[in-house]
Amino acid sequence: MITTLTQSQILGFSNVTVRIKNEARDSRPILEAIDLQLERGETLGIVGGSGSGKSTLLRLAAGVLAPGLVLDQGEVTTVGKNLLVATQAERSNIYGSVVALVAQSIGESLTPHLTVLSHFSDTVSGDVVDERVLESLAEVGLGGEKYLYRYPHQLSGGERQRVLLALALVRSPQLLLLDEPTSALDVSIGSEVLTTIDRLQRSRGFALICVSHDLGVVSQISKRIAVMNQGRIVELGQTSQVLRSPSHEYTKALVSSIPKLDQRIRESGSQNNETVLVCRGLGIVRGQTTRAIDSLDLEIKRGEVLGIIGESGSGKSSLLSAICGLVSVTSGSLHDGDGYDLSTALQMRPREVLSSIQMVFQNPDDSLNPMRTVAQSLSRYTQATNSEVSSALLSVGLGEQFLTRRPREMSGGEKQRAAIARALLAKPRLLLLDEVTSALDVTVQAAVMKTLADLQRKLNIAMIIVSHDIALVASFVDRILVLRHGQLVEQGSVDAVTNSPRDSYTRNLLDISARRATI
Amino acid sequence: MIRIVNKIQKIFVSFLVFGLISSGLASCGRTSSASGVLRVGNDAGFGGAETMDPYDGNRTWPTINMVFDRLIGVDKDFSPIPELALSWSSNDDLTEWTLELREGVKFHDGSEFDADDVVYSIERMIDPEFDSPILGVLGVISLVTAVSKYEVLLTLSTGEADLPLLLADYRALMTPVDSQATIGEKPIGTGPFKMKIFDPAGTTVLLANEDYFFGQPKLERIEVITFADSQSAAQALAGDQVDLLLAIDGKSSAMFGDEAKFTLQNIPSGDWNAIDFRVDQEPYGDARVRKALRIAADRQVIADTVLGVGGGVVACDTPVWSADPYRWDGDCAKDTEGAKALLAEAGYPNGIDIDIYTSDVEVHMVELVTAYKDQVKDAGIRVTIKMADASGFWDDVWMKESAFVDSWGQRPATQVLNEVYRSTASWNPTGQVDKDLDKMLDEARATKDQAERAKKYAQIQERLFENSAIFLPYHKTLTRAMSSKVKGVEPIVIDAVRWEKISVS
Amino acid sequence: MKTLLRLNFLKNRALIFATLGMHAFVALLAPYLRLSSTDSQDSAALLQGPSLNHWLGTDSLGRDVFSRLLHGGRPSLVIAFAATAISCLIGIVIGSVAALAGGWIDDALSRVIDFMLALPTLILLLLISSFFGQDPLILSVALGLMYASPIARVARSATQTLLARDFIRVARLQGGSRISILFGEVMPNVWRVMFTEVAMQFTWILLAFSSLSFLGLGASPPTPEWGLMIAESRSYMTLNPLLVIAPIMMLASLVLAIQALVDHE
Repeated sequence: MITTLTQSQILGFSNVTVRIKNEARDSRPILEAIDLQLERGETLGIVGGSGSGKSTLLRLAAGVLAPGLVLDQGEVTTVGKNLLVATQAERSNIYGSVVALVAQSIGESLTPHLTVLSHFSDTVSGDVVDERVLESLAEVGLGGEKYLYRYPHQLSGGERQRVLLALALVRSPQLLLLDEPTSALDVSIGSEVLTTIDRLQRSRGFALICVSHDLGVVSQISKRIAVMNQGRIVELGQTSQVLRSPSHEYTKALVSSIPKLDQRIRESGSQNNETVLVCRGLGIVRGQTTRAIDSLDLEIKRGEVLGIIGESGSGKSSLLSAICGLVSVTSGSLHDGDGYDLSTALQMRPREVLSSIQMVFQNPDDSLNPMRTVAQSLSRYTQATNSEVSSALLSVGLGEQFLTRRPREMSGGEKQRAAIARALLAKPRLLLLDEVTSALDVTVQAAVMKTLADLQRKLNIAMIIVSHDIALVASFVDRILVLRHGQLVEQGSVDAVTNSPRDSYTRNLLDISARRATI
Repeated sequence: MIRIVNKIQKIFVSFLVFGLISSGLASCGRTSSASGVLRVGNDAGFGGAETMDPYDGNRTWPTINMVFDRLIGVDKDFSPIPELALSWSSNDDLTEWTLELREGVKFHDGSEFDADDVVYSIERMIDPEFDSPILGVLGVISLVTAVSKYEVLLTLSTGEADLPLLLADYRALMTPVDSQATIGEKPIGTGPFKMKIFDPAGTTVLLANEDYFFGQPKLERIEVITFADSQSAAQALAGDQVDLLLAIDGKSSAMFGDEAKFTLQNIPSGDWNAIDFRVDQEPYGDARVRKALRIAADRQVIADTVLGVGGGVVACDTPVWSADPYRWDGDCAKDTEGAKALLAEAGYPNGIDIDIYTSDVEVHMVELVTAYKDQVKDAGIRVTIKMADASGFWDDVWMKESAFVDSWGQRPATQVLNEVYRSTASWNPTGQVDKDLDKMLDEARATKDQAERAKKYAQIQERLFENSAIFLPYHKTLTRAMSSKVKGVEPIVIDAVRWEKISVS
Repeated sequence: MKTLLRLNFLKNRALIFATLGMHAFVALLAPYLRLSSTDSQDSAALLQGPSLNHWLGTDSLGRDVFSRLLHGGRPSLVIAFAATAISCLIGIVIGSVAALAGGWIDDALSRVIDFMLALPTLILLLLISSFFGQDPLILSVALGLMYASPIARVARSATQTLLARDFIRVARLQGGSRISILFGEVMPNVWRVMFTEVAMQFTWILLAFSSLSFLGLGASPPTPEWGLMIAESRSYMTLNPLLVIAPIMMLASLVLAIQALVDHE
């Protein structure tokens, strides 16, 4: 089937199926029967979990097919050209002036030894360089000449993302492709970048496709939304329509999985007055001089769940590391409920103190030894018996078949569940959770948080949960702490903090969260 | 397959030839193949230290033999013949020799050759401070005096019947009085060719000496062209860049198989290889072990394997070569049982394990010990070959390890026997002390009667075969290769070649 | 010919495995194949070209080049395997200990590694070989020591990266001792990262030993060994170029195939 684009269209996918090269025909394709048309000036968001095929689709729109993949059938058309059969010359002509792609990892997309200006010299030729570069940098909010001669390492994450955006827009493409434009950025900065993109799209009128795992991100800049699951577009419609009344089961799950400030996923349990952790005037210095935490007071009771909100650099990870002993305390005091001094170095702590505080880390790919089976990883240091390991796995929702699996055979959610089970096997009184769901899909995140809530109720252990997502924290914890640059800026019960925040920073976070949830 | 091989070979050859032409043209600008010009290829000698002073260790061979003459030459049969001396005689105990000189001979600068030049030349040769390599040959001369303008008296420290042969050494050349300072760069001799341009790293040009006392040379000019290694020299001959190579590797002679284009001459020489066993280290102190090690190998097979068929003449552990009048030819066939018996008798009934050191100083030195290992295994002699670094071989291995490979150049019987086998010789490589042998050597050299002397030398060589610690399987046959245009090069040792008789058609 | 030129050796998987398979077959089975003896000399057949009896001709002592060629990889391979094992053991232990211990121990060990890296390997090997002789054991140990430093360096940084990984932190939080973390968590993963480096070192050691043999100080004659075969035959290469080309091709194809395989993984 061959379709030609109408005058008003910029991109067309007709019945596109992409498979892994040399894989059996009955296996599930990476993309299956994708039909998609994009009008000039239209904005489309594509949302889906990892492995849904959304990035492959975006790359295909830029005329790129990753090595190892083949176009099984169908056609991709951009202003009259089948991109996949276009010659190299045609393609480089199309790329930049018709289609421009902003790739996901902002860390690797800029060349470390080139200045911002040098990055433009490939794309823009001749004497007009400075004027057009300045213009397009100003458009993305990097006005003034001071950015021209900076190197990537002299730019913040948000600035880098803006430079990439300016690079993509400098040749005035008719279609801009964004791959997870905010996933590496803090919430507030990501929100600002999205605002900029939205403003540019309105003023320039280019068409836009934005891919993200975060429904909140795509809904902010897209009029239409395509929901992808397992290589297929399961739902396509107006953003507000999809968000308000999703029709497909997957979309329903997706929408309901988004944490909402006013929707608790864990009921407060019974707290008693037994203290598990006290710190007074705690100070932590990382490196030579960086003050990660500055004179912090904190107390946690048994069965209490504490949430810490903060952006990167706020000191929230340092605090958790200090509590469990991976980072040493510089000043102040840190004791557990029995009065044991936790500023003692890790290797000096008695075994029962070590066991009483356990931590689960952020990156699921890093949490298990890739060379060991789950059973080995879980029993090696906890000395748990086979049946204990099995029941711990069951309690986090993993069946017995996982005992013999290795990390590479497991999904991110499964690996995080195993890591939680391992922490629990040490029978801790305090469990530290450092952004444990931030690398997971929203639906998976919801399920993991549900599991954690069940465990907390059953075991009545204290938890400290750290996250950048205020809605997630608010829906789960009893008490919220907001950290900024190592300082405590806000503290109180969930209701107190969310309903009447005292600090402007907290208010900003709440605003962003509220906006994303309601679009 | 063969076609590919040929192709690779052609590519390789053209590569080498191209390199030669491009590097050679600059220095060989005057080179041409016109008649009357002979181009002689020569191996690079001493890395820029070359000199035309014939008594210096860095003398440029064979150019010195084109410019200078000896007092006495050698004939095809290796007997002494007149060159600058017309006749010679000695007293009865062979300690005083009188030489009558040729009259009317002119040096290249026009001055006359006489007894003063002889005295000057020989005094330089035997000057212990100058320490010329020729001192080892003519060290027996203690005094040289000019009796008259054309008569010279040589006084020896000990009787030496073969002094005329020693004087025929290729370095015992006559130079004019007070020439030491200039002779290295601007050599003045009496020889058939005069030096025109001396460039030992490139092309040395010599012009005919029309007044040569043996007659005018047939060539107008000789060019001696230096090559970095024998491989490129051989390629140059194949590519008609040179006309004559005095020695090529016998196994490479197949390159010059085309008889219409090339002439090959196989000339038996006195160069030899050997395996030396130190008698002061076990187990070589035992004469039975030494003999077993020497009779366990088939010398003909070793010579054929190492040098190629026809590449060498078998020797029964005698350093005296086949054309030398004192040569002794014994029977030294392979005797595996005899060797086994000797070893058993010496206390090695189950064979013996020995280490032999070698080095790729020259390719034959490695091949000899490899071939030897293969030969003696039947007799239960198990050889482990130890390789030593080429640069340190003569200083660190030779005469120091218990067994090692050796290599010597041609020398007359009296010289080689005294230089290698005499107990007190500084280069006696095995450290063997045999006072009887020393006495026999003294007697032989002092025996005036030729036949009697030959008998004594034969007895000495027979004794070596019984007792020596040097396994000396062959003398090398040199292969001389030249363009078929070159005439007049007789198939005899280079010392006897008359340069003035060579022509190029 | 044109297609041959287009055949990109380094990218063709089948060719890489075919080459490695050929080498493995030859190296393992050469003594059991019905080949001419590698040592039997024939003074009547020196430096012959290829024939039915001698597929690649004979060398300067009349020995069968084909047979010597097939046996010629074994000495280098044995030494290279032994030396690589030694350098792995030393390198990984030193590298991991440096990273794990940190502080002055790390500094001291790192300086030692730097020092070893700065040594001129071949010259040092020549010295060792001429001093101690061509003892395979000593050569293996010397090669192993000398090539341990690059492995130690990579092992150190691999360990440092590993130590920052969460599962190591968890092991520490759960009371794992340094030793049990080193052997239980670090080593198996370091080894995984090290495979590439080790395979590369293997090829360098192989080349180093052959170079040593070429210079006359590796394998001793009459052992059939590629480097030694090249050295023995270089005076005769105009008469039978295969004498030199064949061992070079064998050595080059083996080294290239291993390196290409490593690049692929």
